[in-house]
Amino acid sequence: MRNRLAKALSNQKADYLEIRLEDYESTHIRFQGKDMEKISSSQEMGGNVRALVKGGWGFITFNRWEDLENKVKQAIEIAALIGNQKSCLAETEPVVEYLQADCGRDFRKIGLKDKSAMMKNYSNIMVSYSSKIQSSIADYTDQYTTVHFANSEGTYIRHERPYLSVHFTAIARDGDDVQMAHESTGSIKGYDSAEQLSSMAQKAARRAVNLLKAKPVQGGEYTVILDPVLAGVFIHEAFGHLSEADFLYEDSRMKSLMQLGKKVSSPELSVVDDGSLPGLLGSSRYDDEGILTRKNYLIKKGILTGRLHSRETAARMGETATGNARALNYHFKPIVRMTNTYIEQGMTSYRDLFNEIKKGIYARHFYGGNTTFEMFTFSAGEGYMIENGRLVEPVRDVTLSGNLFDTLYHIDGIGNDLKIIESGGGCGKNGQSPLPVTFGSPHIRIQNVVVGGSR
Amino acid sequence: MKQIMEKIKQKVPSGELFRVNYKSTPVDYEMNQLKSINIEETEGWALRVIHDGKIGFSSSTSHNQIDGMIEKALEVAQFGQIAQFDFPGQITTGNEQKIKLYDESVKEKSIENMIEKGNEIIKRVLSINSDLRCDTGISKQDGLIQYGNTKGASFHYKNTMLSYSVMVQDTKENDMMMLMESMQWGKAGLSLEPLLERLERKIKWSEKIVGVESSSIPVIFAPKAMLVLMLPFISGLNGRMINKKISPLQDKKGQLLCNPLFSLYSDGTIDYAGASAPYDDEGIAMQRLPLIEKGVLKNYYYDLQSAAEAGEETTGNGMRSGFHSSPSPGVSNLIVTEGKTSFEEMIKDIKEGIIIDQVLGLGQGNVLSGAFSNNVQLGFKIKNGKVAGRIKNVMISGNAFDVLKDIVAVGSEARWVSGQYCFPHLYVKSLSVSTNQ
Repeated sequence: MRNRLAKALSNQKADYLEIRLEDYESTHIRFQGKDMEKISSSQEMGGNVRALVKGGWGFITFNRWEDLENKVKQAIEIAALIGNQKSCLAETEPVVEYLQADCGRDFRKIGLKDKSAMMKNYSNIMVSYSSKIQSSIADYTDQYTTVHFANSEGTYIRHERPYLSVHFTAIARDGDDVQMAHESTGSIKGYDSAEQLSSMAQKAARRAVNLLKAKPVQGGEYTVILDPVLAGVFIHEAFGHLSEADFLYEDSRMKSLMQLGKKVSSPELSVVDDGSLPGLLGSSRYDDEGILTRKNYLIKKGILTGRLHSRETAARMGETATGNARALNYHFKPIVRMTNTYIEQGMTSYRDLFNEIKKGIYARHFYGGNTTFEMFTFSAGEGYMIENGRLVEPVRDVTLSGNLFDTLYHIDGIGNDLKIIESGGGCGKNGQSPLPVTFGSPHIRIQNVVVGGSR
Repeated sequence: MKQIMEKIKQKVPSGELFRVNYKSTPVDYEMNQLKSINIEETEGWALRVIHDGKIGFSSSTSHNQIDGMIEKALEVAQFGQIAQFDFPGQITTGNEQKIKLYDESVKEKSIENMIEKGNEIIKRVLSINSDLRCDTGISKQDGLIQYGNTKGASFHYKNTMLSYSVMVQDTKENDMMMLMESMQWGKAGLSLEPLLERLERKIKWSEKIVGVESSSIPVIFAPKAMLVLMLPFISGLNGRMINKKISPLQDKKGQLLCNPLFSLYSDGTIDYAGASAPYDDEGIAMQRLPLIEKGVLKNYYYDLQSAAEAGEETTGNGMRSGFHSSPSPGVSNLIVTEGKTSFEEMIKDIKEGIIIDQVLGLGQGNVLSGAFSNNVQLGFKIKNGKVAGRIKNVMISGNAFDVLKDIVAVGSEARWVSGQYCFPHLYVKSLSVSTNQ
């Protein structure tokens, strides 16, 4: 394969070329309530060619691995229609690597019988938790992908990526009132991570039933404590995306908004993105441009210190590539993405964060989150009112929203209980979703957060 | 396709083969500059079998793997869902001639011509204000969809789609305005003028930032923001949700649920619309299906399996989200019937209220219950019958099923959103608005 790709890339007229070929096989199982709802098996082969000519990109995707030379030519042709400046890519040493999956038990060797029995068991746990549980969804997906990547600088990487996720949704009902709770996990560590999730299934059911008792939250401005899950979503959505240099590198006004060296929060806050952490969902040795992943500080002690780059954004901003160019699959170009993003450990014990809160909200878990630059919004899966430092009653439909820069300044307490979350969901950007990432944080306290709700 | 069908017949007594073939060519501008051109070709095959009364499903990107697909589908069927339906013995004909989906001039559109259009859009936006950032994309697509089953029924059709999307961004110290507009249609030659005029108007409205207080006030949902209210209906009217007894709309057929001004249809028969087709993805003729008519719940929507479970007829809503997923109930083009009140008249009628143009966090939260809570990504304040300026850091929340009871007026001009939804403006008496001002 290495020779075949090298041949297709040789003697071509472009500033830079790469080919990515990919094949995968995957299994999907879904139970709804106690019944099998879907089971399927799929295999896919595909690939792409990306060409850079005078600063313009041409990109071709295909399913047939035939006639690669011509596909390369076609990509160069369309790139040439755009190119009108100097091509710019951060320098890197070519590498040749064959990366085996390091994944414990291989899910391809487990039969459908075992997989579906396991999922049936999880479904039964949810449905039999309470008579209030009306239905449930238990989803299992595994996918084993082999990627061949080669570029015109001599890099060749063959990479095997096992991916597995399990999702639980419990749906509780009381008359017209329907409430849901989700739990999920994702992993690159093989089949072992799908087993022993009984307590997770039970947790989903318990939360859904508890939401029936919760009152809708009253809208307004509150002091809020976020659990590690929600704080992790916050730092990923609200801040992490702003650190992705593809939004900034050509936009002088955005650049000044995100000027490195700028003070953005209290000195207690540090934020990291690290794709080199071993075995996590967002991790890999190389990114999808063949750059080694590494630990990148985005905020260090309250000061904006770094951002995430592809080779192009790094070169255009005169910085070094950070190993954050990632592609969901062969249908897409690598773009600047996060990997494992987290708020570093603080000094305060989790209990002490609640002290002195007269009226506030403890928000846990998440339904989802979204952002456009400085504005963010995310929904909690579970919430409690805090009065005089104590939890008083459960509330629901808690959605938090605000301006990132104001909110970073309003973080005034960081716990010492950092937790990294491997959820079964992922991150979405420019139609590339869900990309496996992790996020994490200790408990944090934020002042003056707007919470949507009735009045 | 025929030969492969023969092969399947030999090994599988009951099965259906579905094939898609797409080619799309997007031309993308970033930061006012032409940035990339892509050519994307996709081929996909899906096999669904009924074996020993149970459903099996497999998919692949290559017809060379058909033997593997058959083997996998049969293996999967051992553990599959019990089939309550059978594949159609014949395809109702006629729709293929009636519904127009294909325009050769979309397929033949040159990349140079698409670049010209892109330059035109950028030039027009920068003429409003040269400090604006504009990202735009122009894309053409043509596709071939084929279907055949072991009972001998088969169909195929071609479609085309031309899409324009524009994002305009204005960044100032600690403020950012972001505005998105798009247009998508199966036929070439549609004027970009209305889209550009909408952009111009909203850029002008955005210049001044004004405050709103937390309260309950009248609200106008622009067509783009209407999905906030429609998502709970899309999930609540899904036949599968009804069968599982998890929809709040269960047992409400024939009841007055919304204001009589409100009607909602799933309609797959509209020429050149994004979700139109002669047949759904399991060979059933597409139709115009009333979901809510004058406030009354008329129908749930079904695919073959969910309809059989419910003891109903399929409504032709068996949709596949991509070739690797098996059919499930899905809406086609979603249409909200136009009313009698113009957008301008709505604004005039409001003493103090807001227009919601774009929201953040669509579909996040408990959609099934109808509850929504969204950040207003782009919205405007109305003061004494006039647009006063742009609002920031505002959240709206409520329950879609309640909001639809509380309509003052429905807009007289519906607009296509994302090629698949046709919504007018909707004027609501009162909605909860939260802010930190």
